Amino acid sequence: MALASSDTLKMRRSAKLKRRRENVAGLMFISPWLIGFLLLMFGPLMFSLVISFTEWNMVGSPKYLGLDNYVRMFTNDPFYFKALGVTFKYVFIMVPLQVIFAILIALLLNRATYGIKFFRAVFYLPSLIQGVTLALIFSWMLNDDFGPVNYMLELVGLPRVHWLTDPNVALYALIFIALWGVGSPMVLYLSALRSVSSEYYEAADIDGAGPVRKFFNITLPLITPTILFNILTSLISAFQTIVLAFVLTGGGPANSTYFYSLHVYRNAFTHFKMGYASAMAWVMFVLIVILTGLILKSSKYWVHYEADGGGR
Amino acid sequence: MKLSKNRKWVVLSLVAALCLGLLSACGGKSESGVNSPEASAENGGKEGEVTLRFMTWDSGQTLQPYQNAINAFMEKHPNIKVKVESVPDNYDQKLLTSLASETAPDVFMAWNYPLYVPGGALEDMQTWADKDNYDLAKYYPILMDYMKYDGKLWGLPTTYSTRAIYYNKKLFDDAGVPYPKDGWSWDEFVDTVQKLTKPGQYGFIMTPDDVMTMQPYVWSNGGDMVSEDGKQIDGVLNSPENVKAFTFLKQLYDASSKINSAGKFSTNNGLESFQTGQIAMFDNGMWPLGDILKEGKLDLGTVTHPLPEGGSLKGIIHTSGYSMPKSGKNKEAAWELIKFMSGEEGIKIITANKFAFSPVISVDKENGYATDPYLEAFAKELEGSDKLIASMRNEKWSEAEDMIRAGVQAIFYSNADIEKTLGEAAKQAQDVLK
Repeated sequence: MALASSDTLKMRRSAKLKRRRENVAGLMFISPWLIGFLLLMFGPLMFSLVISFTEWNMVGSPKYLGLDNYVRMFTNDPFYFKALGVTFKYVFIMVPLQVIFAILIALLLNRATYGIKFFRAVFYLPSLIQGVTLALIFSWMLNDDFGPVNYMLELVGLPRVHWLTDPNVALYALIFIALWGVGSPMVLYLSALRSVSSEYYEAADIDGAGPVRKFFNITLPLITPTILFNILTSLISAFQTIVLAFVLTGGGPANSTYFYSLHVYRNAFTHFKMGYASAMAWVMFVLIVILTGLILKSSKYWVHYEADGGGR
Repeated sequence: MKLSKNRKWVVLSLVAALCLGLLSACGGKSESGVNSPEASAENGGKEGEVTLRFMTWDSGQTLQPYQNAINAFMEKHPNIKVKVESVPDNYDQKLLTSLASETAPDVFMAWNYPLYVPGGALEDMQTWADKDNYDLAKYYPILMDYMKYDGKLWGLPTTYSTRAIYYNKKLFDDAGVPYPKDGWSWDEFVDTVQKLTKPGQYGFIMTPDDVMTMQPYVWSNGGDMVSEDGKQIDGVLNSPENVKAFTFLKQLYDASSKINSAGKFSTNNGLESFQTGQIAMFDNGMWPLGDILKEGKLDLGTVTHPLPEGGSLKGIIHTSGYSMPKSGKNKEAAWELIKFMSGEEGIKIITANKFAFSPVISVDKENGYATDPYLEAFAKELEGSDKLIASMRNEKWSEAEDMIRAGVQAIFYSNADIEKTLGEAAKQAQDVLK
């Protein structure tokens, strides 16, 4: 008895030791990021929170304002809601489109056709070009007078479109350009699709299910974890989008692409109102946290994990 | 994961190396071009030798004239070395950060005094001028106004340029339209623009985005963007004179491009389109003139801004000053450099070959650019100029300008009522300017 208990104690202790060792190893592995975060980001983050309650133009000492900055954006800033509106419009059009296109392309590329690997590479390749490079390429593609896109429209007898210079079009042009990066989520869906066990489809075949039925009743539910992941990551990055608008339109024409991030940038680095810009950035942070939380909360109603044996 | 002991050490040391890399990345400030004042004293080695840091937004070709003057200065002062730091992008950000952290260069170019001055980091130049009996009357008085904010002097002028209208003679000849002459009217301008606009060619580009360059039109009609002291805009921006001026600007927009573009034709892109003959007339400073003439491909003329009935020419001025930070360690040497660069000797070198106009009146006369067929129009624009651009009058102007811009966009793009829109913009901006 005594022997046994000392044995289990030993085992427990060694298990504990092992767990601790694993924890230490884990911490070590993420330590570059962790140390980087603590040293390089945490300080500035807290600093921006503090100065969000002040007026400060980088030179001189900040002047304490209390909640004035936070009150001002909702009551007395003619551009705030415009910028918020543009951003929401962009997010709620771009993210669903990205999810749908990524899934559709992944479905196409999930076939066992000859040369499929080549096509997978081809469809993924564009997403390697991002940011300013992408913006510059499209500034030529969509050029009013010399752009290939307008040239092709004209060849088939359609009128030229002022892609980036018409206030009613510019935002959609930016969404269109952003979808260029659809390759990255597409790869995720592809791997999700390939991990769906073929047994399900065989069973469905025996039951006489058609391809549409198979997609909606087997494929779609089984890739919902990937959809959730994709929605969350692209939602967060879409809310913070700045590069395309910054390079291509500068927020114009007529503020039709004036994203929230541009408003923050403009206040920080044109008007040098660091306090106000920080306050806006924190409000955006809270907004994103709330939206992410809502989506995560909703996920138990539509995300199916195979391990639970399906959802409700 | 099972790792052998050896492997574990490899991983550990890799992780450690990564961490160290991160640590050194944030501790590397002193290595990155930003010399501490102490370091510059050691640099020279020789007794009494100082190294000055000089910061400018000019780079490449536009830096060369300044570099020439600096070289001449160093020859004259063998104990002073000048290190040029060229910052073509995000100049204000870089300057403000360095002022805040007291690592600002000993001498820097500055144009936006309302932005830098309130932090209290700039050296008052009046005391240096007084101490040295430096003659400030040799400069054009209007340019000295651009060196002041809050009643004090913060810099000595570098160079200046006004703006005028460039026109492409060939496009005028093709359309059978006579060349414009100084003193032409607003109506003639709109008429000319209309005649020179056809598919693939624009008579003139008027965008609602460039509020700053609308000021000469507003001024010449007896109006202003904001009160002298920069505090009152309601009732000034939306004055009857300005309603008339913006009605004209709207006509100008309608007569030509109707381009809803932020970037397409503004400054540099406009220059390109002008040089390729897509635009018949364009509004700019004297800067591109030298290059265009050197290339010799374009037969161009320049003319002063058109005037409203009974109006007088009031040009807009682009200028900047040499300043130094309060925290500077080599102020004596810095003052010597500023005096040289802004004074007769330096300015003669800098403004050679029609690079720019000289703020020193005697040198400007000597250069004789006012009688140059291409530069005459620019010189005339200075004569009547007696107003500071609005951004020099209030440190919060850039915010107010955003509101005015949105108003002008509504007027241009969606035909909003001019008087009402200017009134609304003025009320919004009033709140910012206080």
